[in-house]
Amino acid sequence: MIKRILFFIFLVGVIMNSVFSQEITVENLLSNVSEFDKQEVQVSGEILTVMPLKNGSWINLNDNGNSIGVWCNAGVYLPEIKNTASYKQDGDFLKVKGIFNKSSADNYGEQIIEALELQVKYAKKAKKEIVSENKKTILELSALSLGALILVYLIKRYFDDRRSKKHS
Amino acid sequence: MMFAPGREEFFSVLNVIGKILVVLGFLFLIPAAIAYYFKELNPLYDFLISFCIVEFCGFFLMIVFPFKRNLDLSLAFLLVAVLWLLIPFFGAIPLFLSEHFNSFLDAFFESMSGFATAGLSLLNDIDHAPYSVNFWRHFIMFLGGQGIILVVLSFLGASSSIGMDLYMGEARDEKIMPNIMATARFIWVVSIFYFVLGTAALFVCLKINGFKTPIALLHSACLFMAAFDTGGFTPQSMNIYYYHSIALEMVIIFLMMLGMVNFNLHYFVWMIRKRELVRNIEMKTFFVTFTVLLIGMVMPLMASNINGNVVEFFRKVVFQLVSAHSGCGFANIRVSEFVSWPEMSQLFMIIAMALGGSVGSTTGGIKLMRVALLFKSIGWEIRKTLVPDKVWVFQKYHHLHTKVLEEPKVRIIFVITFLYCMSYFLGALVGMLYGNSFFDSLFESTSAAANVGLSVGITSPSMPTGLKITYIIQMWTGRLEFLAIIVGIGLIGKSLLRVNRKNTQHNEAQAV
Repeated sequence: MIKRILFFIFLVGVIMNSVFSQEITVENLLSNVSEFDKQEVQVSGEILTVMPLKNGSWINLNDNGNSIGVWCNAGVYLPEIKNTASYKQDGDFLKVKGIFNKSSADNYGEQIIEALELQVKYAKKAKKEIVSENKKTILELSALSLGALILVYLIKRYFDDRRSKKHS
Repeated sequence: MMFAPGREEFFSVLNVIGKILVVLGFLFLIPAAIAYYFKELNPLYDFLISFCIVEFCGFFLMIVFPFKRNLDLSLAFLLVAVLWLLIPFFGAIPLFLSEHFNSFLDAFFESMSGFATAGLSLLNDIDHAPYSVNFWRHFIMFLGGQGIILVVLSFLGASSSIGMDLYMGEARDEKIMPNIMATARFIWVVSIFYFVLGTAALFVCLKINGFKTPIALLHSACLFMAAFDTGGFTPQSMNIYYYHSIALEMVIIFLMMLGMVNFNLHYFVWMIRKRELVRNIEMKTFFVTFTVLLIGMVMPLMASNINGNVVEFFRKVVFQLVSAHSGCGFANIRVSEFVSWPEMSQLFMIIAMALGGSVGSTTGGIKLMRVALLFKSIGWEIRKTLVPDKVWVFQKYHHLHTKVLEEPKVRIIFVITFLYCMSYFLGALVGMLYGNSFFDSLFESTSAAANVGLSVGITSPSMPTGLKITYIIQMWTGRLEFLAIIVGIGLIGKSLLRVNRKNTQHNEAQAV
């Protein structure tokens, strides 16, 4: 029994390894465009934006600072995407299997991936934004100093005006 | 003999700087309002802190340094040179506080790049940057493109003599209207008219692409400011290929070309005669340089068998070329794709960047008028040698009116062109000292000095500090076309010499 379990774990490991070995980074993909042109590739990354159009959707994907556009035809199943990258929220994590095109004729020469299969892992909910106490104190102090200086300026101006009136 | 300003003159300069800071400080409240709208708490605090700091410094200078003497042209130039360092410095405060920059120097680089409408960026993780910070990056580009002085004059008003001196110091050698206030007003009318039209056109493109209304509005406003003021920042990391929209790229090409046109020409075409557009020397020069550069870029690309049809070629090459020639710096292809182009095509891009757009526009670089007059002056010299000595040969050109080329003008053109070329090559030399290839260094250096913003990948947050400082200096000098800075340095040097001489005389008198 133990042997069977170990063999099963080994088998799962081999399958998982072979699946992930197909995945490449966007950086690798973009620096070897000729090699991967018209090939099936698998990449993953944070979703920057989703642009729904009539005949499909554009998804922009960011993998460690390297971004690529993914074209998802209307016929391909697009799972629900809840979050895109923004100041307050990390974008959902997308795994794409598709055909890489170094100069897509349908899209006027763009370097894109035409999606065949998509998998989404949802990002954690955005944390509440907290302003540090230091920042609050700095603002209070600078506002107070500014107020005081404006007062000094107005007083100085008042006396300057009086002096110039006297002279005239 | 050069005038050496004394203490009173310097006090007056500092007083005017104080006044200008007080005016410009209020501009921080616009991104603060955006931060409030999008409920971005930290950026809201950052912009309010920046507002207080700038206002404090402004009032401090106004109190401590009284205004005693009117400023003459050389002092106005000094003021402009100093101001173009100070304003980006203060503009960098909210950027630095946003924690998207590795150091204050990086934030200052970004701010200078924005104000000088260069568009080179050191922002980390731009896709997670607050909307208000992104708006601020584009807004400073709009202010810098219009001209900081012009913005201030619009608010403050000024006596026409000093106003015009300041205006000239900001690398604008042509006034549109008889007085400076009317000129400022006209430039704003043109810009706001195009702002409304351009933003609306971009908004429609983005809505078709499925953007939500507030984001589409923000992106279209940012893209307009970057395109019309030939800046080149984008509100996200993927530059223009983020939008996957050929319609949007067409609108942007149109806006970049509008931005590179002389405001004076805008006035003539709007108010006086439409035909000026085809008669103007700068427009003719643009047609020639654009055609030559386009052919120069396409030929090596075709020879190198980079696949793609005519439409793809047109989309990529024309967009990149207009972006480089106008000094905008947008790209609809990745850096990795651009660097795979043949070096000859890249060389033509460098030439396009170096040339720049029209004088009196928002572009950088040598400028089309100077290029045209340089060639005309060469023809003039040749003709002068071919005719007898007693025959007076003159060279005409058409810019708004038919004008005669004069030798002092030619001399200034040669000096400025020489200084630009020096800046391009010295920057490249510094780039090479840091281990980059000559070609890449020249590309990046020209991009910085001509305020373009295209990059072959040298500009990044991990770039050496020395190179960051070099590019900051190049952007600063390139935006002001050297003259204000040279005059400013000359004045300070002269004053220091005078102080030194006085001290020596004082010591000698005491010794006696």
